[in-house]
Amino acid sequence: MNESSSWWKTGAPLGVAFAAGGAALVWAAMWYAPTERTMGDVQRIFYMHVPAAMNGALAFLVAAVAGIGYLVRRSERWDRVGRTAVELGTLWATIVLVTGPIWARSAWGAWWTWEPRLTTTLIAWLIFLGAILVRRIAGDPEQAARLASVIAIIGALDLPIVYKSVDWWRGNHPIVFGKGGGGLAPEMRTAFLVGALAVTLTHVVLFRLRYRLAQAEDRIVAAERLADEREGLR
Amino acid sequence: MSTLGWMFWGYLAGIVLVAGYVAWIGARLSALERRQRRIDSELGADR
Repeated sequence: MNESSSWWKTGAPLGVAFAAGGAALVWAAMWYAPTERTMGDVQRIFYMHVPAAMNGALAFLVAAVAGIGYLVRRSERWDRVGRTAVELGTLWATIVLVTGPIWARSAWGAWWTWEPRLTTTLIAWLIFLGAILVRRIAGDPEQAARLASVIAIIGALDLPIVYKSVDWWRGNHPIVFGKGGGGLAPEMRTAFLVGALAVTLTHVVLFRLRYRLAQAEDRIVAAERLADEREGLR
Repeated sequence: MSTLGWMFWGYLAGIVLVAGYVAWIGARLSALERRQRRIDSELGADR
């Protein structure tokens, strides 16, 4: 099979799935869901903001588990899972940090406030961004993997703080689910489920793609090492 | 801009971020596959 047909086979279903998921998400959020009585249309950001936050937290948790796995076993597979999960978690957290201020500007009259949940989320994002950057800065791949694993574990310690920050420090970030939450009307719940499904499926597809890239990166490192050794023998 | 307009930009920003990430993975994967083939052919020529 030539390169272009291989790409077409991988890229075409991915593109269709991505377009369908994006269209379903936008339709559910912008048209299907009713307008919320108090906040108005700005509440519609919820259908992407919350699924992105949930998937971000999940990815950061996977990154921490992979970090522990790598530090214990020193296996390349754990390192690849960690590399993949850290990047995906940072991507979802970036979406959370972009969509949140759009809501805040309308609801609170300011793009950003140092509210506990916002602040702890920003801290988590910065920690995991650090785990990405350390891989680019550290010269030795094994040292980079070790450092990134430790940073991912430290970052995951912030996750329960992000979750409980609203209770602990009485922040004014809205609570929808759980104790003290307002809950959702049935149509809003359906729209939320569509959003959560679209974002989670995208996450699964992206994870597989990024993991494949991590495998290709590792193969290159091994092949270059072999080529260098042969060069040295000449 | 209306609130609904801001919502539109919010959703578009999210979708563009994900699409950009997919494009970056695709481009890097292609570049690595090309590099791998070059290394393989160099190693093969040495044998």
